[in-house]
Amino acid sequence: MKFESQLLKGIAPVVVLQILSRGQMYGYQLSHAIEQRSGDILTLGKGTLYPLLYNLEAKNLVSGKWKQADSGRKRRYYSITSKGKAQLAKQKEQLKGLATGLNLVFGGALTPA
Amino acid sequence: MAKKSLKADLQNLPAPAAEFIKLVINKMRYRRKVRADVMAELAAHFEDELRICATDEEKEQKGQRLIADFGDAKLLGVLLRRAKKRCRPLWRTVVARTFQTFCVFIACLVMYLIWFFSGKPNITVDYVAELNRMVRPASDESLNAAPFYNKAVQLYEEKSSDEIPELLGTKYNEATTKQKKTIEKWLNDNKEIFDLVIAGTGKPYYWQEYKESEGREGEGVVSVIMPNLAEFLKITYALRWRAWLSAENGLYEDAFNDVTICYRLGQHLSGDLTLVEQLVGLALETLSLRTLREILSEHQVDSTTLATLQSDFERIVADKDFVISIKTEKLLAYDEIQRCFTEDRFGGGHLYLPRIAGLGGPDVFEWDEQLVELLSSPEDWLGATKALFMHPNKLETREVAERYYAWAETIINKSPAQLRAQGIDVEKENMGLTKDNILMEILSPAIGKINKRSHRTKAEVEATLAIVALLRFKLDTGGYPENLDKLVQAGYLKELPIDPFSDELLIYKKVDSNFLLYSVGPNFADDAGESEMGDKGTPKPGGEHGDVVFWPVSK
Repeated sequence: MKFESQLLKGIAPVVVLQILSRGQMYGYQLSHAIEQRSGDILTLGKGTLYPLLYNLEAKNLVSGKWKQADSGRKRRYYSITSKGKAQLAKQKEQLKGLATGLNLVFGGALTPA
Repeated sequence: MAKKSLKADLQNLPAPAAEFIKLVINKMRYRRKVRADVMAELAAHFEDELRICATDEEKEQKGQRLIADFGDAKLLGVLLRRAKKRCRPLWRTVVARTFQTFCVFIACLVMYLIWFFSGKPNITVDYVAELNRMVRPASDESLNAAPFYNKAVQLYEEKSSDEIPELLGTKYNEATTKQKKTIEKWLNDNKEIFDLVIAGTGKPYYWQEYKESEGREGEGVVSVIMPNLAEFLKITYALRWRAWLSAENGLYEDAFNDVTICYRLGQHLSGDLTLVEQLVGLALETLSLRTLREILSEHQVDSTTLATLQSDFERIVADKDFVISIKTEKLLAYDEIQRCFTEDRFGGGHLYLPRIAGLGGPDVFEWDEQLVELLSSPEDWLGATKALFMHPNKLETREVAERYYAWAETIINKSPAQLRAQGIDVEKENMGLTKDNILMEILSPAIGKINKRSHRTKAEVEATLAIVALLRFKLDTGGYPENLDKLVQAGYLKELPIDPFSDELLIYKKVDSNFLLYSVGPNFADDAGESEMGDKGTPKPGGEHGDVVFWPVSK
């Protein structure tokens, strides 16, 4: 599904943090994980992914390290930091509140069947 | 990440993908290591995406889709750079910003210096011509003494050997018999020189056109040559010697004539001439008066001859204004102001360094050498920076010059005693007027010293006339008077001599069969007629301490 870019703009960081909270990943893995775990609903453009990762790294929410991947090649793995975890928890609370409010406005129409 | 492995990673990718990654990295324009990391990461992503493709054709197609998914290479490069910059540690950010600020400052400074050093002065007034118009008397050339003096100087230079100037500088009572004979012979052989000088002193005016010195054409008033000044002094020494020799032979009228000629020569160097010429003129006048007093001290001259001498001198000095004129100095200052500031346009309105440095004269180091010397002396940087960037502009300096010379005019007309009575500290006020203005500090003359010099010469003249009158009085009445008023009352003197350092009469005391006549001097204190002594144990001419004793004459 193609979403309005403005809708996705705010949630992309929290999505990335949520996925990384389950384990470290490199860029390609993260990109596919977002699609898979959202049931192919959410897609993050490659041109958005890496700038986003670097921004999160600048804010100290994630940290990146070059490591040997399973394929034997070197890849840059990203993992969530403790600050990232705190930010994630906070933003999840905010999203829950947002979802509740939207559901009330739309009379429960936003809840998947 | 080594360059080789990067190239290897890109070589594993289809050409469009490799080109795309390279383009993104180029557009990133950031530190090389960071770009290398990003390139490796993007290459790894492409590699992972394309691994599942079985054929090259599939790889190409998937590669194109991936490129489209990444989006515009330039935009991506910009986004990646911004994001990576945010990853920079704080200290690196501070260093980078500091460096950028410094570079901006340097760029601004360079541009300012280019602007600063590109300006040149615009000379609008020919002050050398103005000077010539000012000093030339409004009369015909036949009344000018200059042609006679120039001819005399020319002859002097032709006729004097290396030995003569040194001999003429010797004092009469210190010369050996052989030296006296040599001098006497030379004087007799070169009478023509002195006849020309005598002819010149008979003219009412002395005027020579001022010209800029050779090689310094177009440099203004500061480069005008003042010919013959040194030669005038040498000729005066020669006349002085002739006067001594005449007196030695009892020819007092001839001796006094020569002394009077010396004085007239000095008197011609007065008025609206350059300061140097006027000071040389005062020096010649003083020299002739001292010679006269020496002769009177050594020889018994009859009353009639003394009366003639006094009458001649009173006629010569009647209406003479001993105050030094600073009009030429003012013209010099105005000329230098127009030459030391750039034009008020591009690069305009500030000090012009080459000219400022050159005010020291052509023998001073070139201004660029001075600049190098300045740059190697950090303690001078603050002063130099202030001079360059905060110095008053041309208009402000012109105003300072006008205020300065208006003040100087009031000062030079007052005697040292009047200045002291009014609590005027000339040096302090001088510094205050020219403070923070380098050009005026350089150009302003030593008004205090000039003031003392001119008033002291006036005192010399009045003292010498009083001495002649006293000697006449003694010869006529058998003794010296109790006080100077008696001289005026008896008709021996027209005016009483005034001490410029006290604004009262010169101090006169009868001492045994002689008398003492002196000024309290520049220290304004009566030291009972004791002079400041020099290194040789003789009174120091122009000393700042002790009294100025006119009589008796020191041996």
